[in-house]
Amino acid sequence: MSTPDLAVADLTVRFGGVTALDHVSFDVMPGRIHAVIGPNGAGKSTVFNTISNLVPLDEGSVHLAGVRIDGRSAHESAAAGVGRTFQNLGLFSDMTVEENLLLGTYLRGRAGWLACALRLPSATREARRMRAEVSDVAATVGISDLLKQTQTSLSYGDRKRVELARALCMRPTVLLLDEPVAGMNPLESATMTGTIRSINEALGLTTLLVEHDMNMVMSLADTVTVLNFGRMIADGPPDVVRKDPAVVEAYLGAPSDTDSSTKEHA
Amino acid sequence: MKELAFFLLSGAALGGLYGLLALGFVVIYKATHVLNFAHGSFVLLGAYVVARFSSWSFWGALAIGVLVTVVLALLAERLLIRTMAGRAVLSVTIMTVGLDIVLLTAARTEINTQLLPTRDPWGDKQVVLLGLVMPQARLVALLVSIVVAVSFFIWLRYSRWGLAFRAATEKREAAALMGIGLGTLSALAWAIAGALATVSGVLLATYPYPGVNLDLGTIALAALPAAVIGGLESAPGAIIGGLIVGIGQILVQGYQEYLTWLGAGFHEVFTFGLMLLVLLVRPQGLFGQKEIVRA
Amino acid sequence: MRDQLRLSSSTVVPAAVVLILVLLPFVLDDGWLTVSTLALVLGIAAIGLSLLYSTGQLSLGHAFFMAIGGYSYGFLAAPSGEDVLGLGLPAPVALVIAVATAGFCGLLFSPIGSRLGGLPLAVATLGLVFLGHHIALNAGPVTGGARGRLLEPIGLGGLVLDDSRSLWWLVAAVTAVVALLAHRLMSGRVGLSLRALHGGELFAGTMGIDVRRRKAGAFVVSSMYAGLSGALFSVVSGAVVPETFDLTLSLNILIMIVLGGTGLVVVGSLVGAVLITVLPELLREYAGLFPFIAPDALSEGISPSSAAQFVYGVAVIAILIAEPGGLAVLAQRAGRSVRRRLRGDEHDTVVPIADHPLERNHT
Repeated sequence: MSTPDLAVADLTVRFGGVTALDHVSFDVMPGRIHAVIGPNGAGKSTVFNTISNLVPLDEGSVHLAGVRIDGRSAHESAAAGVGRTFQNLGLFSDMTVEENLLLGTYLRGRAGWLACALRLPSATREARRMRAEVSDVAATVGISDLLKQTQTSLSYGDRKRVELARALCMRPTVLLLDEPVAGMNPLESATMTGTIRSINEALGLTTLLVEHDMNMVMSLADTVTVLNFGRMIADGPPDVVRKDPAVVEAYLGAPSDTDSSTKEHA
Repeated sequence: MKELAFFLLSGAALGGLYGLLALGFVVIYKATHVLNFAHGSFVLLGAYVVARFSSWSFWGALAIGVLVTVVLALLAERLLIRTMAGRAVLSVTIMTVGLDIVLLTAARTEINTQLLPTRDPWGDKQVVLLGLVMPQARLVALLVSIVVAVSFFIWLRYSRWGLAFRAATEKREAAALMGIGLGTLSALAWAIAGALATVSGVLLATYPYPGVNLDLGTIALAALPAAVIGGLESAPGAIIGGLIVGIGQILVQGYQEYLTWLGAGFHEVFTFGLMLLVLLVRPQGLFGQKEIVRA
Repeated sequence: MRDQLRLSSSTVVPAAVVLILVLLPFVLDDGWLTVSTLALVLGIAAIGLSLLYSTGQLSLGHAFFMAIGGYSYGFLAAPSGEDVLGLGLPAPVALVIAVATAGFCGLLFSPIGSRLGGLPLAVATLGLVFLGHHIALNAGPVTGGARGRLLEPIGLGGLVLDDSRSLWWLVAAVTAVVALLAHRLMSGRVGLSLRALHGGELFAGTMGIDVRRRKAGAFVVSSMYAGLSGALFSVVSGAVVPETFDLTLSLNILIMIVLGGTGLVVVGSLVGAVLITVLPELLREYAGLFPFIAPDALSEGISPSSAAQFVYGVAVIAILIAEPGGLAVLAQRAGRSVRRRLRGDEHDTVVPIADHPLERNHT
């Protein structure tokens, strides 16, 4: 029995009087794609924020490849192997796409104040290596021609792909994608879904994603956890989950939603 | 014992003034997250206008002074702040530094080394209170500060605009839903700060300053620690911070013979020293809130 | 096939700069040379502040760290005198220790500084300036109190540098070195992480950047730059007095980086420093052209420094509203369009990524 790359157990988060997450648990096995879905306000992004250590847990634990990572700081999560994207985009607007991607490689570099200031050969070699990696990732995601632009001149769909590319540059153990196709039209959405799938297949990258778009989730995910009001109401393969009466009820209607591109974010 | 009482009362008076000055900063910061470094020059300007017209009528001059600073504040808000909508608050704050420099330089050429009296009705008279002989000016400063502060809080708590102001500073989207534009709120905050500036300036020109001179332009900076100690987003914090700082400063000055190790004239930098101590222990200030992370 | 020597800006510009630095003393008279020297000294402080600002931290306390550098140098380099203490160390040693002391003070402040947001930090650093002034006035044996201390002309390796030319070359050399260091810092991995902090500490953290440590590091390095500037200031002026290191100085350094352009840490700071230092002198020299400016204390009109201050205030407002990238970006843009017009469509000069104009968001 192999260790899950990501194991969250009894995640509980309370904001004042509201219980955002109530004993949520699931495992993500290596190389698998796991989706967390649920109606607006169900607590999906909160799950991400606890894994990234942006929000403290009131109860529960997060283990990454067997190592406990909760209760630490955000950068320690990242160093442990968590790479994530943000629902509302966390790109740095004063930087070019290439610089944003280079930041993704930050953790894997070593050049500090002295090495940079003196431009030591080790720093120069490292910089060259990282730049080459950024080039490769950009090619994989299909944004090579955007590298020198600033993110303000990009379309929303392109920005989301840059966000994905940046997370990939971190070479994370687990990739967290926060609504990767939100706000995209069907064509962009299909392209993005395809990119995520091919990355997962090529790199065996364990992926956890939060999404509204049912079609996307059903076609992509190996396993699904459904949240409602912070509680788990279903957990399992997509076909099983979509027929679960509790899930259907929570969504008040057909689980297949082709109009997700017009949905508002949580 | 009498000495201590005297110090406490004087300290409260000075603290009230610091509180009003701090409130001027906090009101704008609450509404816009910008620190208005030009507040000091507004204080000077308001007091100067009052001094200029005071030979006609003190109260009339006061009214004109308030009008001038409120108009100037609204102009600044509309012409400068509004054009920088959406920009980083740090940039807007630096812009207020520029504004402060412009206004103070203009003031320097006009006022130079003059000392202008404000011809206030309470003058140099002394008054006896609880067995203490105290300049009337200090008492007035204390009373007016209390009245202004209380009025502000009543307004904040019970009026429709006050409620909107509080709401907007907590949650911007909610304010917009209430039909109150964020632009209007910004203008309101600046107008209030402008009015507070003149009132503070006039009071300061009677105590502790003997009149209106250039120093008034920079005194507001000394109140910044009070605002920070209270918590930059807390209006009650500004007043309480002001009192703490004012009383502390007078006490340090009064008992400086016991505190020689702190250096001569320490009371002048006491506010800043206290602020650094508070920030070391509680970075958000006494009544400030720790930032909640929302990704 | 190489038909012609292709000169890229990365060789021409530094060469031109070195040439100017070496030859300037032969072009300017003593007075203007001293002004230029001062401009570079303050430019070093400006580079430090700009570096710090690139992380989104606004410090109004730069004058404090300059004071630390200046007074430390005074204490370390000068011998003991009548009512002051001194260690009489050789100048280079004193300089290095002074810089380290300033950096150390930056480190001491960082537990407060790195936990504060942008504006509370500005107020906290403001406090440092006033506290520093107070300490300078009261720590008589070290600082010389209100009178300050006099310094002997600096001696390096047997040579005594007491004329404006040798001081210029010393300062220019030091400036060139630290400017290069800063440029390399900003264009490397560290610089990227600093700029990420400005973009959003939250997101920087999720990239693995230890936000507190980086902010503290930036503060320390920026303090060292300020300390070096303060020490050199003492060297150039031959004395260190409390009045120098006041809030106006902090604000002037801030104005330098804003006008010059905060996006280009080295070029912007130096452009701003030259501008701010030179303008009052220019106004004083050509006061005749401006009837409202008083060339000296007895004439009618406003003083040149007041007039200059007024211009700065207006310029800061204008720059922030219209072209936040600062004058350096304006000049770069103008230069590019001129070049394009001259050369047609040819190779535009190769500009490293870090020199791209970092214009603030206009949204």
